[in-house]
Amino acid sequence: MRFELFQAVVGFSSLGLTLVVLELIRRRRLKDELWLPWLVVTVTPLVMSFWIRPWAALAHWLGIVYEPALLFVLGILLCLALILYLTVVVSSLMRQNLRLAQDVALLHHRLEMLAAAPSQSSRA
Amino acid sequence: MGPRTLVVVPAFNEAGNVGRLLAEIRALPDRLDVVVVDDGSPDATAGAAAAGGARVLRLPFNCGIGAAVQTGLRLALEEGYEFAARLDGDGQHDPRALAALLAPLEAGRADFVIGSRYLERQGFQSSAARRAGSRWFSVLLRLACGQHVSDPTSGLWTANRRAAAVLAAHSTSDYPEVDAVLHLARQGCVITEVPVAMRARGAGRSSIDTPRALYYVLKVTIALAAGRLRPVPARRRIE
Repeated sequence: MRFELFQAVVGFSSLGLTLVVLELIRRRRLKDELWLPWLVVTVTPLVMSFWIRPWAALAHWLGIVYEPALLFVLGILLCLALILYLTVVVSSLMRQNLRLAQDVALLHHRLEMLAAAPSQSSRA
Repeated sequence: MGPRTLVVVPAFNEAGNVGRLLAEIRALPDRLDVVVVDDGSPDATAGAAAAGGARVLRLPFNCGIGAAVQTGLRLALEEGYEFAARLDGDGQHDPRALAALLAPLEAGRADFVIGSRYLERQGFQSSAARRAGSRWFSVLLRLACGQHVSDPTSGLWTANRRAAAVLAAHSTSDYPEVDAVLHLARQGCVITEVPVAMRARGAGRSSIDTPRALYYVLKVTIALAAGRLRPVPARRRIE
């Protein structure tokens, strides 16, 4: 089986990115819920670059004349899925952030009332 | 007004208006508690509100008018107020309308009362484009939940504890009014309207310019469609 240059480029790039993601997981710089999508995004092209026959067949079945283009299509789709997932995570964080901001305002107000209460009673 | 009412005033950069509004509320024959929710204003809104004798809740950063109102409603619920009212800090809402807005709640005829500019055309009337937008939302609301509201974008309303609890749990940061009506209707709250006259805003400029107005229409239309497709959450028990 001939090994094309593009396979080497995709394979090494994906391997490099996978190693970076694994290192970030080891250093706990990526949270549990977030490392799995990143591993999917980096490992999928890696597998595709070495195990090319089924992908070439899929490309032909989809009517893609230049098989490596399938890699780009899938890469873009995976990136879009990752962005969507991250947007969901950000939306959840925004909701939590809003709730915390409201709690801060309510607790700050309660603290002010508590602080004002003794001074009012001592004046009386 | 026998039962205790908390007036929630969301305010962002309204240092020039909020003092006058608070003086008007103080001049009402019935004593009302007021909380100004300063939505992270960089100007002296919080100081002006405190100087005007109101309690002040300071959000640490700008969270949007929906979140500001929700913060005031949470305070009203926590402190056991029977009713909550919303008056905007820009001075467009006349506090003298509150008595008429609270009457259906006190009589137990409604859970949520909206002050409508369009039931009787009096006072300051918004532009034709805004009226058309309001009519569009009226039609959508009727389709989405069968509720007829002539002024769904009105920010002048009163709520009892049942409606306040629904709104306090349902968060929409910006342009929350229409979505709130849908949510309340789907929760089985009785919604009614009373005619009110609005005024031109005092100092400062409206935050809704043409691009924002288009975003408003698009955002609220999609939010209504999405809200209609969501399952109705379990009804809340009000303590």
